[in-house]
Amino acid sequence: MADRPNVKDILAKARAGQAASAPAGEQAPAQASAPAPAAPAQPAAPVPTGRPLTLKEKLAAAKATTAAAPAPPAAPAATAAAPAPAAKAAPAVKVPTPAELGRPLTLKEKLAAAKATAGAAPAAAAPAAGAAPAAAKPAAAARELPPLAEMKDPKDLAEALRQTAAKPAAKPAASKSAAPAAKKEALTLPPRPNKNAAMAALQGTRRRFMIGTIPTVAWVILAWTTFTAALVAFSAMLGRFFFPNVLAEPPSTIKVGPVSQFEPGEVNERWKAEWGFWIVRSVYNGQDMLYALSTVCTHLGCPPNWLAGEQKFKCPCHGSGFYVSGVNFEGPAPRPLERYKLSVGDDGQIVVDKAQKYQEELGQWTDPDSFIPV
Amino acid sequence: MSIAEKITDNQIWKSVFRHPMPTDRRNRVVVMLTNFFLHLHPVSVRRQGIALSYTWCMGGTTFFLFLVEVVTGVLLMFYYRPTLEHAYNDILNLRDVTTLGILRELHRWGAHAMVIAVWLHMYRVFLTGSYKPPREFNWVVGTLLLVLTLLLSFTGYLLPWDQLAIWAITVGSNMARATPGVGVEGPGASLLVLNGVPLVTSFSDAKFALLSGRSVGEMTLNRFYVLHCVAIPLAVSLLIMIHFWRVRKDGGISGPM
Amino acid sequence: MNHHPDLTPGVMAGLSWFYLLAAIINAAAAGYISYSELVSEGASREGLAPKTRKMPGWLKNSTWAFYLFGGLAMLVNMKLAFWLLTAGSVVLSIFSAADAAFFAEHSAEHGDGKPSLDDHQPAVGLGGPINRAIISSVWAMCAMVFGIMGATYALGAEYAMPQVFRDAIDSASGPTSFFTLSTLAFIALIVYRRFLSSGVVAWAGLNLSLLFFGLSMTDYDFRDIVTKPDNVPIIGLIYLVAYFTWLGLRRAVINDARMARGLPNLEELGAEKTLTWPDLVYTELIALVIGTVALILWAIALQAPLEQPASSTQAPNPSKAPWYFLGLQEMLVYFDPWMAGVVLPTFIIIGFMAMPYIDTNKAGNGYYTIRQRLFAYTTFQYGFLVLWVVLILLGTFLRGPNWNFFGPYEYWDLHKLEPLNNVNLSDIFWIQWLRQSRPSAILLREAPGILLTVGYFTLLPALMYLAFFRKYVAEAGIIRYSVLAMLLLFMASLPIKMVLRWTINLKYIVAIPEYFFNI
Repeated sequence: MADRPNVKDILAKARAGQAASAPAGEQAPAQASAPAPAAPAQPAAPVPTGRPLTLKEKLAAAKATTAAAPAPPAAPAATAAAPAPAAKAAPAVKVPTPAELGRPLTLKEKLAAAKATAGAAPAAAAPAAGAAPAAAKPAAAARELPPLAEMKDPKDLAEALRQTAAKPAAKPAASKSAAPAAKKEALTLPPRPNKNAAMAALQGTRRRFMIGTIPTVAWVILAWTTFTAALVAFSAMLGRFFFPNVLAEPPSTIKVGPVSQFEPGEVNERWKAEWGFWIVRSVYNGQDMLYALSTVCTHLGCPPNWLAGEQKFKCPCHGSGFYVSGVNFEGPAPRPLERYKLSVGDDGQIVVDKAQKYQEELGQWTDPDSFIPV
Repeated sequence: MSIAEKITDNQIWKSVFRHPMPTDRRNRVVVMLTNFFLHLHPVSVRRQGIALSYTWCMGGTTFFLFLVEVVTGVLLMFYYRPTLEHAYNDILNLRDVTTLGILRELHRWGAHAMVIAVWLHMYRVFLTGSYKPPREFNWVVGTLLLVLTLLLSFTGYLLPWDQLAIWAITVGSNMARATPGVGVEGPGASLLVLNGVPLVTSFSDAKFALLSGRSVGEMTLNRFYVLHCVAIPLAVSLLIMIHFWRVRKDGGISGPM
Repeated sequence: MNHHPDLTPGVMAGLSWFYLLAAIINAAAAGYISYSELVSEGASREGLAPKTRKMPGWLKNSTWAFYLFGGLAMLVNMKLAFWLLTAGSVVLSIFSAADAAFFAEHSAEHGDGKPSLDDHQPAVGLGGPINRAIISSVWAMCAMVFGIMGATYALGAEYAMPQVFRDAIDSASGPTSFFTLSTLAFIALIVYRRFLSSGVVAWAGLNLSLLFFGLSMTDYDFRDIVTKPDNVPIIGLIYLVAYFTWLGLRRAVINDARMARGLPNLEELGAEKTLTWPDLVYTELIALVIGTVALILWAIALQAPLEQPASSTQAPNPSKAPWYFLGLQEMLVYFDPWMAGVVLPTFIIIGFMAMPYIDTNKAGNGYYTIRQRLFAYTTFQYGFLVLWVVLILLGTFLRGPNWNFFGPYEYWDLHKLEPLNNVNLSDIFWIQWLRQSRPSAILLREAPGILLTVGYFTLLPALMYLAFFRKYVAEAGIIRYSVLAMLLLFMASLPIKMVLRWTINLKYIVAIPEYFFNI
């Protein structure tokens, strides 16, 4: 392990060789497209350099590597690993997809394929991570590597991988399909199941992805719908809360005396204060009758005053005027005053029932309960 | 050692104020940053932004009057009971019997002044175009505050329980009866019928909910009391906080953009 | 009709002090114009009136001493103080006018005929220099007239506003003339804004309003309404709104003139930063102290109204909503509650909130200007001044028992008869025009009104687009325009309904009382 380059050297080279790395990409496109998530700093960190890397250094390293080999996300590495067997035989040929096989590849098959492609160098710890530094370090291509089993530094692993991958890529490099072929080759980086945590994670992600796609969306929709519904229901209940269920209001019926008590043309105000109606005896539609008029103005609820001199009800609030019949004729009131139900009890007394009202504009004043003929 | 030094040169004073009187530039900056009440303001402002001929001082006046209303309102609550039996007499007593008999006057005139100040503040903000981006949202918050100010004043109008109060509220709340769709005399309400049973009646319309009954009564008094003393002031306080915060965040006191 | 005396000793004493106050402020104005030393401050204040107008030291000191002496005299003897202050004001105004005339003569002899700093130099946009001698003399004259009026009342002369004059005003006033005149006054305000925003004009207006108010206070009925405790804030509202409207107008006029000349506007002049402590903090402290003192004085001077205990059967006549809702209550005369009390207020609130989003004009952000945003400025101001404040004044001071209209000097007669026989559009259409009875089917009966209303809200926006708003729609989009058009049409519906009521006694355009749907 004596000639194993330490991170410092790598970084120094990386800094110096940023530009130099471009030709490497041309020579071996495999490296350029090698999946390299920005992980180099991660394996680099534990390397015994005497001190931990500073953030600056890590960033510099990451920059150097990614400049040479733009790092695609890790996922393609896993997916592309599947068609590995075909890739070795004829890299330029389109590789069979799981769909062609008629079933998804099993993990075993994938791994086997990957191993086979990797040839003598199957013992990669983090292929994705390793590939990137490799691209950044073209000068080290001929460097001697320790036996794979002893490899611990990801940089070494990457180097090994690079050497392996470069061979099949060299042939189709001239051809038109160089890029895709190189991609396939690069993607056959050898995972080793027992160590390849990244690979396992990727597989897991994919499984969750397949199982969860539609249900997850559905869950989100369901959750928000439930939440909104609960919120609406709660608001509705809160709204309902503001409508009291019990009211302390007086009974709705009262006796006002016998019919004979009321003079023709009289507007009796005795019950205005406490009960809110006038008993009127007047001629309406050619008929002499008694009726009970509500003292609530149909405009905004003020109690009109009876002006005997002008023979009209006049509302003080906004000046609505009503004839003695209760029909509006001036001011803003939109409709006549309301009548209450009248009936003659067994004792000959008139009973007024405020629970039942009769509105002229609805044609209810013809109802025999709305008046008592005299 | 002068008396002033004796007061200020000790641990208690220093723990409260942290720094000497803001007589020099450094401390004038620091005081704005360390004082809870002053940190509402930025350290420095544009000179024209605080010119009275520009701002008319109406926003600040409104806030001042709100504080007056809160203080006098809380004091009035100590002697006022919102019941038919006591309300009117308590108001009389607050004037004739209680010490500091001008509290109700302060509260009422302050409320009138606050309505005027809010209008003038809004008028000024409009005339200077200060509702334009980036202050659109704060203008909306201000509109809500205007509405709540009017509602505060309106709900307070009922509490003395005199003729002025009850009829102003009767007239005002009868408008709710005419709300389209949800008021018993509003257009469309008579069309809302389920299986022959009208949905909107005088027992289930907007006015009923507002008054807690079919006419202005004791429950109405209680309802308006709670709205006036608790519910609306809380909402106003929250909106005032948002309003002030947004003044700072949207570029400070307005000026040419 | 009127059973109360117009003038009582209390009223006369009050009026004498009122006129004294008017005399004092006019004497002060005369002295200010005459004696102030005008100092120009060079190029940095280009286009502005000279900022520093100093009172000479001798005048300042003697004025303060004089008023202090007067104040002390008030503690000893009110009568003595009154005469002292009156005499002082008259002397000051005479001296001011005389000295201003002397300076004018002097500069006419020795000057080169051009306006100098001795002439009052207003800011750009407010017209040319004002002759110091003339203006000073005019204010001195006002001071003397007011002083003499105050003295007259103090001596016990019972001078009231001539009855002929009162009757003329009463008979000329009505909801129609009041609203129409307000609208015309508003148009004049915008059109003649350069003239009106001059300080001299404003001061003359203030003097006229004081004279009008003082004379009107000699009328019992006017006094009775105006001095109701709840109405006092509205008097304050009139003066505050008038002053701030004028101030905003003046600054806008100055800004417009400055920007037309390529000068920075007034708000850009003060762009430099200043420390919040002390500049703003102390301003706030002073405002707080003034506010507190004013409120306490107000509370001591004027007792909050408390009427009889609530009675659910006896409504006072007239029953009025709180004063700030009287604009809405006035709308109730023309619209049903669901429109005036619910729909229109809702649209007012929505309109306010929508304003920043429909006003896409980027100019005029943070400074006073009219020219750069004429449409927004006038629309809002018309809504606020005429459709809100003026309606509140109408509802407060001119609506009496039964919500009848009463002139400012008219006795609030409970039995005043005002025939209000209004007709619906369906009556006019079917009975008057087609000479047949109204159809019984509701929709057919109200078809003319419904068509008219639908047309108002659909055709009119299209026509408005073609006539005025093409550029706006291209800029702001159709949604903004739709909202704007709806808001404008709802705003215009009130004056339209008013005019229809006044001209053809129209009650409802669409009248379907069966479903409470009346427009």
